[in-house]
Formats: sequence, structure tokens, C-alpha cells
Amino acid sequence: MSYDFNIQPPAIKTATLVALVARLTRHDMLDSMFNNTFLLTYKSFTTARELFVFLVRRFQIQPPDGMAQDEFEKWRDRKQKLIRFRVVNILKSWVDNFWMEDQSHETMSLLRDIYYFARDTVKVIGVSGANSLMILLEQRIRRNDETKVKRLILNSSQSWPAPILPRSMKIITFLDVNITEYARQLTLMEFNLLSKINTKELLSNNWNKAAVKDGLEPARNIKAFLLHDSQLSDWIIGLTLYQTTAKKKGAVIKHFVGIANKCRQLNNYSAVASIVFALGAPKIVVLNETWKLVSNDTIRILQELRGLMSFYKGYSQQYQDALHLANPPCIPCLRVHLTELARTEAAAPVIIDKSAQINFAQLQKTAEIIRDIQQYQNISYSLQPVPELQEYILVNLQAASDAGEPEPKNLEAELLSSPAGKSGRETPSYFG
Amino acid sequence: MSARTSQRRDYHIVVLGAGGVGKSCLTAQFVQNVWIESYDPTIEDSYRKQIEVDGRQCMLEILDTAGTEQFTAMRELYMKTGQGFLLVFSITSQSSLAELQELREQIIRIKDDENVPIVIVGNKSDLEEDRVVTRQRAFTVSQSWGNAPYYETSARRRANVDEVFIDLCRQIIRKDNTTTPSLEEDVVYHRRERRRPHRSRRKKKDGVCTIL
Repeated sequence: MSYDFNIQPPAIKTATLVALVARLTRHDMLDSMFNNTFLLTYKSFTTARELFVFLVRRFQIQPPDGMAQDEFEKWRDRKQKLIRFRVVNILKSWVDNFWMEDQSHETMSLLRDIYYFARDTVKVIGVSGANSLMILLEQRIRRNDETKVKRLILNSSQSWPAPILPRSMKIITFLDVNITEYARQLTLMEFNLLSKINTKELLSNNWNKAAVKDGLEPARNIKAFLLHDSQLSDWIIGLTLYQTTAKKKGAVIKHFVGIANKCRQLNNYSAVASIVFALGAPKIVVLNETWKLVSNDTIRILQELRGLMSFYKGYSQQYQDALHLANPPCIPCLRVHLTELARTEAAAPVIIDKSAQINFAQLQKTAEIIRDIQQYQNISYSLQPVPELQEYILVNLQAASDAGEPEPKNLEAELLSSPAGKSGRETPSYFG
Repeated sequence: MSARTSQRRDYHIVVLGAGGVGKSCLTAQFVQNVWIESYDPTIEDSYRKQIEVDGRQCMLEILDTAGTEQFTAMRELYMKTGQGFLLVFSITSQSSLAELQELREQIIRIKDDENVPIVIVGNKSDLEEDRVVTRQRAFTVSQSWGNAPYYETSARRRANVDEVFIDLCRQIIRKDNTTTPSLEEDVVYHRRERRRPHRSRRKKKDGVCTIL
């Protein structure tokens, strides 16, 4: 195992699988960040079966030769027991929260083997946690899907602010919808899309991969999120251009800038970016007559948001700072984080040739980006959904994307994720 | 990434108490805003949550532990690494309060410090009809522990949940400020070496006893 001492505390640079598994289950320390990184990324350097074998081997740790009886007892109580406890907990945590295996026969047989290990070894020796591990495995074997075992219930709606409804809920028109309420409903819809994304989708560039033979998208929730994002931009452009006079166009732009500003207050950076990019699209920028009618106040806010959302080769410092200071709930600008992930993974191979050393420093970067996204997924907005408004938004978004080709946006992420995007004309791959 | 984390402090919080008092539910409510309906005894789980306390960004690393079945060597390890402790009991169980006594003594022994940040948490306050631990009894315990703050919480209804974590975080920050003058990044390393010559100088906390 080699370390990078430039970071405090020193971080692991490279290590063999044996060394990583030992660190995962140390008796004298718990490094939860390390454990999280390992379990998030294990698929890029080992297989589930191999990991299980290494964990069992770790569980079977034996005392050094020639240990006296009293020393042995100390070793057993202060080292072996703790290591075994940690092995069981890692197994439980893996199966419960980090299970990313497909639904093959191999997976089923592995689950059964872990079950037998829990029943015939862990439980017999009397290490705590055997029972909950067995229950967990039974549930996985029976359903063999990715459903979480814990039943979680959302809190009641007492503290939600009252929605601000338009005059008529029957015929909703854009300028009639209060900007705060529009931002809220858009945010709820986007949070719902964000929370559906699972970890597996974020790994190994899955969102750029085409559907496999049986028609299952490897990252369908990421694609759904990105599709919504581009539909929103299309709609903003479409609705603005649809207005017949410069005055009306200006009013629509003002309304969208107001919505973007409210989205920023809700920490919804994704929507801020969509709106800012749409209003920066060539077709909108050239509307000279319209922009003359937009107030200085609106222009100032738009400039501010543009500064916040300007990306050049990844995160802008301003976005990074804003995100860092934002208390969740929060919706990050997902494309930017995906670009960062793709870049990190492309930077160097995970397994260093021949030496069988695993490039753990690289995995830490990947895991850090994923953890950030997960943090945002975990905390939901305390806002009341208004189904009529969400329906209104949804219908418009779909209509916008049916209307014509999606407008390519000036965003690095698109260029990186789609070679076709470089021409600036063709539809990026994730629209498909 | 160091630029991102430099302004933010990491604090280690450990949640201790008997089995079934609601340690995981309390933690899940705080971290994820959800109520866990099912009961699955914890082995050891760690969570992270960023919060703002008095204008300062804190990343809390919260260790949710096993209840009764956990063994001494492991508990000692938790106490060594933790900077602040939530000692949780259930107001529907006398024995769960009694178990905290031993935990507190062990923390003080291991830390060699009478003023370790601690918050006493009487959970399940929504089950008032099943209450067997009176508020008076809990206050007496709090007073005998140098006025460690006492809160009654309901993880079920999310009552006082944020408050207990924030109170604990404040105590840790205060301690951080008094024991490590102007050291920026090396707090963790220095804290270990530093004996505490000025222990008595630290002001006694005001009697913070908070009920719902």
C-alpha cells in the first residue's frame, strides 16, 4: 500500500486487494469514507465473488504462531473479534446499500453462499449481526431486485408553505403562474427525477452507453433527468419565440429570469443552468428589439446567474462555492458532475498493469463526486406538490420536445459526452 | 478537493444507548428526513451531514452504533474517536436510562475529561401514555452530570431532532475554540497531544434543560 503524504491525513494512493480488504475491516479504526469509496467502486477493480472470498478469508484470521495463552486471549478479544464484527458489518452494508449486481444465476448463487456463511459460520461463532444479515439476504434472494429492505416514511406536510395558485386552475397561462410557485413545482419535479438515479448509473460512464439487447437502459434515470433538462431549455426558447411582439417576448424573458432567481434560492442549480443557457441561445440572443425592453434589474439578475453558471472545463469556482455553502435540499447541475465523473474515470486506469495494484486515489475522486450527488438525493424538499401545475409544466415540456430538434446548448458536458455534439447540430446521444 | 473542504470542519459524533431506544431512527430523521418504520438492529453505520451552526459550515460524521450486544473493545474505540456523544434512552424504559450511567463513566474515563460534549436524549416522547421515566428523574440525572443538556425527542414526529445534534455540535465547537487556540488545519493532531491544563477555566454551562 502506498500513501500520498501531501494530504492530511495521508491518503492511500495504490494498494492490492488484500490490503484494501484489511483496511476495510481494521480492528483499531473505522474509516467510513474509505469504506464508502471501496463499496461504491469495487466493481471497477474486482468481482462480487472475489470480494466475498477475500472477506471470508479476512474473517478466518488466525493468531501468529507460538502465541502464549494470555496473549492469545488478548489478541482474540482486541483484534480477532473486532475484525470479525467488521467483516459482518461490511457484508451487511454491501448487501443492503451498495449491492449493484445484475440478476444472473451467478448473483443468486453468490447470495446463497453469503447466506450459508452467515448461518453456518458467523451465527455459530456468535458474532453479532448474523441474524440481520440473514434476513437481508433472504429478502434479496426472494425478490432479487434493488429494493431497499428498510421501510422509510416521509415526514408529514405540516411545515410546508402554502402554495400560491394562479387565478384559474382550468386554463393556466405562463405569465399567470407566480414565479415562486413555478420554481417550487419545477424543483419538486426535478428532485423526483434526481432521487431516482441509482449509484450504478453513475459508474463507468453508463449514461453514455446505449441500451443493451433486452432493451434496458444502463442509466435510464440519468437519461430521464437530462431529457427533462433539455426539454426545459427547448420550451423556454420555444415559448419566447412563439410570442408575437417584442414586448410579449420581453415579458416572458423577465418571467423566466424571475423563476431562475427563485430556483437559485431553492438551491436548484439545475434549473438555473437550464434557464440561463436557454436565454443565452443564439436564437434568443439575437432578439435585439426584445432585449431593449428588458429592464436593467432583470438583466442584472441574469448576468449574476450567468456568472454563477459559467462552466469552463468543469466546475466554475462560483458554482463550486455556492454548492459548498448550500444547505441541502439542493439540485446540482447534474451535467457538470457527470462531466467531472467521466473526466476522472478517463484520467488513468484503475488497475495498474502487471503489479495488480489498485489506483485507489483515482477511485476516491470518483467516489467523492458520487457521494456529493447522493447527499443531494437524500434530502427532499419540504414543499407541497400542486398536481395541476406540474401537469401544466409536463405537458408543455413534452410539447416543446415534440416540436422540433433540441437546441444544442453551449455546455462542455454535452461536448464531452457526445462526439456528435461537437458539430453543434446533431442531437446528443442522451436524447435517444 | 482540498479547497472545497478547507472552510468546513469535520466533527465526529457518536450515538450511544441501549438497544431499541431509537438511535437509528433519530439519526435517520436528522440525516435524511425520514422515519424508519421497520426494526433492524444496527451493527455500526456511519452518516455524514452538512449543517450550518451559528454561521459556520460543519460536516458531521455521525456514528450510529449497536445497542446492548456491542462489546467493550469496540465501545472504547468509538469513545476514543468521538468528539461528542448523544446518550439516548427511551422514556418508556427505566433500564435504558440506567444503562447510560455506565456509558458516561466510560467516556469520561477514556477521554480523561469531565467536560466531554454530551447531550442526554429521552426519545419516544410521542409515547406519553407509556412513559415510565419522569422528566424530573431525567433532570436529576442531567444535574448530576454537570448539567449536561437534556432533551426529549420524538424521532417518529421529528420533534427536537435537529436541536439535539445542533446543541452537541455547539458544544464541540466551543471546546474546539477553547482547547486549540488559532490552529487551523491541524486540530485533530494537536488535540491528541495536548493535555488540558486549563480544564477548570472552562465556564460551567448554564442549566440547559430543554423539554418540548
